[in-house]
Amino acid sequence: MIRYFGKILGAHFRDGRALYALTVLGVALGVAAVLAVQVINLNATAAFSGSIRAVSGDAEVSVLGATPSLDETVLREVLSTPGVERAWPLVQRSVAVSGDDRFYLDVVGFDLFAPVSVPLSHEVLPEDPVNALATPGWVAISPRLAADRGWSVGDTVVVTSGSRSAVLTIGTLVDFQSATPLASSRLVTMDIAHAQSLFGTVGRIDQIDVQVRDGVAPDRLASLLRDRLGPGVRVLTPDQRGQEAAGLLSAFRLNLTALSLISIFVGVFLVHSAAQTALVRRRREFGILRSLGATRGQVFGLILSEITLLGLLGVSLGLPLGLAVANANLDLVSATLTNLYLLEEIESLVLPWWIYGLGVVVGLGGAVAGALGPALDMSRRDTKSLLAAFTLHERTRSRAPALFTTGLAILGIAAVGYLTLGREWQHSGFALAAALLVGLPLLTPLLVHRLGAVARTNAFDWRFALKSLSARLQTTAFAAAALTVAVAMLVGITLMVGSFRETLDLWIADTVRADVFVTTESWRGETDETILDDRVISAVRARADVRAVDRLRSFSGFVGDRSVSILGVDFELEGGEPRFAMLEGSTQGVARDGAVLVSEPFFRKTGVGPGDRLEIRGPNGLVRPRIAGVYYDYSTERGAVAMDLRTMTEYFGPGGTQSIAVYLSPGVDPEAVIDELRAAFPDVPLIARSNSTLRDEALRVFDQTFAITRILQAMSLLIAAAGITLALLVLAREKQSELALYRALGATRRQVFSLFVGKGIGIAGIGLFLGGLGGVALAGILIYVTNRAYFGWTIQAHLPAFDLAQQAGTILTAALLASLYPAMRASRTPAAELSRENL
Amino acid sequence: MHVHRIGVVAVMLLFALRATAQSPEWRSADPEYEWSFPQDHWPHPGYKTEWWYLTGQLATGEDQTPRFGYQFTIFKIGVLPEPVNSVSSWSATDVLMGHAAITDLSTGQHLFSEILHRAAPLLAEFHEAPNPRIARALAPPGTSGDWTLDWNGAAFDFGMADDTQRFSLTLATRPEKPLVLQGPNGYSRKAPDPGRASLYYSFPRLDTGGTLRMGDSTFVVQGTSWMDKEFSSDPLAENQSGWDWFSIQLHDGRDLMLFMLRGQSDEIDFAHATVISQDGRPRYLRAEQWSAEPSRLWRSPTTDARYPLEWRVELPDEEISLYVEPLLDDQENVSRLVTDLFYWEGAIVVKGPDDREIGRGYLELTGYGSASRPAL
Amino acid sequence: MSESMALRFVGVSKRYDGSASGSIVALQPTTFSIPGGRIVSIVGRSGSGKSTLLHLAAGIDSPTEGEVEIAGRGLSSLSERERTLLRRDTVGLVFQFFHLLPHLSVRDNVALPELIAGTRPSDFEPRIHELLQRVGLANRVEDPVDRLSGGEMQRVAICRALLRRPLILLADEPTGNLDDETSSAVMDLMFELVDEQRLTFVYVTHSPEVAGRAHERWEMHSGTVVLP
Repeated sequence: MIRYFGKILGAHFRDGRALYALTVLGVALGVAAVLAVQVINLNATAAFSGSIRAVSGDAEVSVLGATPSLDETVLREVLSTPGVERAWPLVQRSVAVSGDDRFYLDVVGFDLFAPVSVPLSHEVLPEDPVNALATPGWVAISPRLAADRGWSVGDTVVVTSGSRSAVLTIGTLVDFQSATPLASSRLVTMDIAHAQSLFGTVGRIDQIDVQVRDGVAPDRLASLLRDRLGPGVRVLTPDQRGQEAAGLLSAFRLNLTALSLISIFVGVFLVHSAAQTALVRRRREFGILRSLGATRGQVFGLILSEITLLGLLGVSLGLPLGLAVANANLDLVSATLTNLYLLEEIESLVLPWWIYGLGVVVGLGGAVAGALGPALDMSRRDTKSLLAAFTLHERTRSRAPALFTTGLAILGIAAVGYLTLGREWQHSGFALAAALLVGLPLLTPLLVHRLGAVARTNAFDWRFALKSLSARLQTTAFAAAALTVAVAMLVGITLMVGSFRETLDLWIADTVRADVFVTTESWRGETDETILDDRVISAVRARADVRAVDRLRSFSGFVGDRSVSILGVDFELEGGEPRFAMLEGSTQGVARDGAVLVSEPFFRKTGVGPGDRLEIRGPNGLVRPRIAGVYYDYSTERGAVAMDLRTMTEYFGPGGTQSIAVYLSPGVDPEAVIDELRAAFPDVPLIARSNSTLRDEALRVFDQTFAITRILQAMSLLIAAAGITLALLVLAREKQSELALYRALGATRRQVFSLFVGKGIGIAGIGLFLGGLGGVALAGILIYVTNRAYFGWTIQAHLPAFDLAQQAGTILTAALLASLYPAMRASRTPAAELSRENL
Repeated sequence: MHVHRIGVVAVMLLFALRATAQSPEWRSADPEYEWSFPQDHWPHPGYKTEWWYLTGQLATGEDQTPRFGYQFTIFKIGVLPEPVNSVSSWSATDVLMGHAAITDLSTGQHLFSEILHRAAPLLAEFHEAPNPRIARALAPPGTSGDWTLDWNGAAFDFGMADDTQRFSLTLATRPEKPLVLQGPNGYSRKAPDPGRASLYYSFPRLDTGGTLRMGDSTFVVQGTSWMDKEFSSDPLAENQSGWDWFSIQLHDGRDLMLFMLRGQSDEIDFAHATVISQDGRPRYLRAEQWSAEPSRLWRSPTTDARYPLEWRVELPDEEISLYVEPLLDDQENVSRLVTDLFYWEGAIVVKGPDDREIGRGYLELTGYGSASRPAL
Repeated sequence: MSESMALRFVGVSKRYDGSASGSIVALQPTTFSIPGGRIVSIVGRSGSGKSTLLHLAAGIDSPTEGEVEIAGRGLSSLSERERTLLRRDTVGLVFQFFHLLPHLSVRDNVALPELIAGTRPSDFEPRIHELLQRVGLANRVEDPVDRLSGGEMQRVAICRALLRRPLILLADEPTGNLDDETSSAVMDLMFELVDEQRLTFVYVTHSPEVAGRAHERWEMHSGTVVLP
């Protein structure tokens, strides 16, 4: 059999190039989608873990502050704890390179004389330790950073943190990344004394890393430290820190994975269609083989071997394609990671061997799954039917009603299940969506059939084409089903993203009311030390054209183990405008009684709301303010707690302002004010934006975040369009006699061509219709169920009519284009093809 | 995973020491140095290295025969000759390194503890006169409390603890004999080149008492110590690999201090001896005036270094001929904080030609072993 | 004289260029004329080239050499499209396997040629009913064809062939799939209709009895037509 296989392979390849290509393409696309998504998912947290590892090395436990920074005397406590082998302090800051507010350096201040093995392989010169101490601003950077920025040893770089700026001197190059490849190339190390005096606060550090004595379990030491050090401090193992990050990202990653699964589905469909087409052509060949004594198993094996080969080809295409897609989207995903999740950006991809294994499994599995049906079908037929060259027996038509009922049942059960039991279950959104995407396609066969039945034939036109779709239900319904899924996905996501964007826009309009916003270049550092110079604030206040100045102080904090953003603003600002759009409760009591507001994502994820007491970890223990209300917050899915500045001082001690929002008198030009401010403070690293600029930026970040989904959508659509082509090719092939009949009866080539294009558009139309309905339902699920459960946002549904119309147009155009080639083939059917076959 | 990790500090530190040694910012030992006590007992800024080195043998209970040998050393290692203008409490110009060891002569147990901190107040501090606390540093990780070195008005009090190694010392000393300058005006040459020297003085006999804890047992101890204080900016010369140093307290009341600096092939590059009379007057001997011949070599199971533990010492002009024997072979200190830092520092017994004990003391052997670097 | 010739072959041959075995001559150079109203039967074994001759006659296929004329018009001077249009108006086809569309009703199957021609339903609807009535299937108008018997299906096919009032009726083994009794019924019907509508009728058959009912009986052997 193997020799036969080898011989025929070449012949079939020449014959069915298009089909083979489409099979390979289907597999490749499915593999690429899965691979790209998994690589991105993996690397999203790997970068963070890598940075932890680079900075903390082999430290088994890290001590971090629960509030802004750590009192450095905690180090003494840690050092005196039994079980500690070594402990060393760190000061960490994100600083902005002056003049480039997008470029950050991660400065880590080490105690260069702590007897510790830090994961460096180095080219340290003998004078270096002395220089490191003697020269404020002496830093060691990685060769890669030096290369990227064009810096060399001896150069100086001006950086800013808050309103402070400092001059760094490149002292030496140390290749951190050779020991920990995932270390950010932006890692910059210096002596802790200088780090503290340049960027930090005297008496405070950011982290203490601990190496545990041999024979002591890190978890036990961590627990002992927790007891000794109290709640103002977090004690974590590196795994726990990685889990924190993973937790932040879980929703994001899950969504991506779900999308990739859909891509697999559509890819499998493509393979199925292609396999079916190819096999149908070769009925006679199989008939001959069987009549010569080949067993069913041998025929099956033959088919499967071909499919495996094609699958492997597809995998070999799909793997590099997936990597390319992941690489191409690194920037986008990194932007999301840093913008929304305040995590590290991905600089290079880590690709463990098992990712490739996954790609192979998906590719081969998908290929076999797709071809299994037709393969089994072909190998099970008895010889006579194969030889007699009858076309596929139409079982689908009789099954159509059953399938329809099953589909409705699935949808119904899912809906009822959700309404009664599922509301509380976090994953119910996914279950609903899955039910939708499984149930919906099952409705297509009957729909196509019915449509054909009601179409009246009064002309040789699109209605005639529609009617003829039901003649080959198995093929046409399948194509329509795949298109339905792709369209449902497209419409659903477009609706959700559109609604989200609209909601975001309205929310910004509602809450971002000030005219000018001023902050520092390093505002993303989000610590209590990246503050705005008081001189700037005073200067702004003193202006005659300024109605009010609203201050914002913010830093990261912890409620239990959940990381939240803690904000302090002036709740009783005169001349200001309300900044919080309330979902529940009110702002009453926030200014006077020290109550706080929590953001909607926080509320939905924890269930802690108005009337309850919040437990925030403060530097001196837990503080328990009352929650007065819940506000809408679309800026992040991380929870947030807002309070009055005075309350904040009471709980967390005094601190500076990170940014201000300025309300101008009517008629004053914000841009002019911004220019004057910059001119007045040339050496202070300010970022000043007008209201409209800020809104544009926010939306830009939003668009960036959702760019990745667009790519997956495009891929699915591509696959579905290819599916139409295949379906039509199958039709053209199978119905040659019918086409020959039309030609014999006097239909011109153009008429046959139009007929086929009509079929393609008919399939597209059905897909659009059903998919549109499904998409609306999917959008509903995404907006009202998933988003609330996973991210905690309320999204107001909006119809982005223009986008949808554009997409419908694109789909129809794609269907049109997909039909052209098969229609051309069909029209070429010579009338003489009226062979001795039944139609 | 530790294999490829390098103790960065160690390398950095040692590079720092070696490379910047002769730089002009550091103060060099001056033969005309003007001593003034007690101020000179405190740290001297501007010198690259300085140490307070105490060793001794202690008895406990009724028995007068010493049961313990001990060592307590505080090193000040200068990194910056001048302080840098910085508000940070972490900024430091020096590093404090502490070594402590106890040998239980009856059980043969030798324990070693060490600390290494930058001299930032949170971790370690050197003070100025007249603060009775000369130096303070955090105990090793896992132990609470500080290591301290104080001036009690007449001599030094000190204390250390290490809960991981499970021993601690709290001792007070009083001088039995006055302070002695080692070398004319305390200028102690270390090499044929007259420019290489340190400023060096000793308290050759200190009456010592206090408590010593080892394992679960605490002992009230008393005995005699020897204290060395040295400061300089010149480490060993390039061709010197290490030294042998003896402190001997003879039962007849005299004290001896001998040292030999060895070259790369173990030949003696420079040697010096000081003989201190019963009433505390020092006489300085040149190399030709005395000899010390090593005999038995002991191979360390930990570092594979071969230390000459037995010596025959002759000072003909003083009519001294003695044999030095270690009270325990394994009194080697191996640092885990600084790579390639290991040396032998141990209690010795000194015997006459008739094999009778004529004195006690301490022996220090550095630079043995293929990679060893001397303890400064 | 040619105007009265419904169908004319002048030196028409058809050759297929095979691959390894060289060319296959499906039809040797053939010349004949069939006047209007004439009924000709062609008998031969399978593979003798009968279908090829019919395809050439219908303009479905083009000859390698020679000229085919339908109602005096030579096909070689026409473009493919023009041939198709001509076929619409002048030729009716009936096949052995009926070639009805299974997903369409009886009425729709019959209407097919007019649908293709783009005629308004009101213009051809009456004729459909008229024809179906004539063949006795008026009550089955809306039935799906796959419920019909073999004979009924062929009758529907005949209606389809005659819908546009062609000049020539070509039938390729019209009774090949029918039993004897139905065969003669169907042949009777066709002969009647041909007579009523004054058609030229050329049919291919392997049955000598069926062949014998024609005005002329030709034989075909290996691509060669043997005229009587």
